[in-house]
Amino acid sequence: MSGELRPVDARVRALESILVEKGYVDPAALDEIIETYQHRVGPRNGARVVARAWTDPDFAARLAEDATAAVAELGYGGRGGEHLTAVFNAPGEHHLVVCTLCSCYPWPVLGLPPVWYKSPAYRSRAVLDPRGVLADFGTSRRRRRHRVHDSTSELRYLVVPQRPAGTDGWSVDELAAIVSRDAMIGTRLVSA
Amino acid sequence: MNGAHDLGGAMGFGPVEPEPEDVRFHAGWERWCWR
Repeated sequence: MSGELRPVDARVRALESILVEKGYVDPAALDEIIETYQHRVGPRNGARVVARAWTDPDFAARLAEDATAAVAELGYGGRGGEHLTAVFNAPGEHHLVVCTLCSCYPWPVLGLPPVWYKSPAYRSRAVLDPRGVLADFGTSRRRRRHRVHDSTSELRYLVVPQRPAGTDGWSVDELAAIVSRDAMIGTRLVSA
Repeated sequence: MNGAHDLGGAMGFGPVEPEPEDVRFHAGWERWCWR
């Protein structure tokens, strides 16, 4: 098998060749899209939104009211983020986001969805046994109401985790650095 | 479409397998068809 393409590699390359030869896609555009989502658009964007919400109550209020507009204040938006809703974790409530139908995800603020987000295991069990799914991530939220949000292509969610203790006086940059992608989906917590 | 699309509440798919956040692609072909 060495030196040969696996069937899925061969299929993808064949499809790309046909699309390019017919002039439907520009290879440079494909490279630009990959480059954009690999390096420029990613969970760092969402982390900045969260850090801003933690440090600016007025922004947090706007984020709760109209997440799409608030996120646009930081320059984020576009494909996959036309209608965003921010949900805020609180001492008695934990939010978890899933797309049971496929893999709808807030691209402008979180970038590429992780494989597990698209997996049948996550999509099926997030609504059936959210506490069990959290346990798969080593996350435990006892004595809290769990709210699971099922995304659609029109409506996508960003979880604003609880700000951890011991971060008083931290800058937005310092706070953004500790906010993980998984915390903004709701499968992990943020710790300082 | 070979299987059920709406998986919400279905059973039998096993545990979720988290992975490090800096993993973007697992094989070359994923870069070209991630969407």
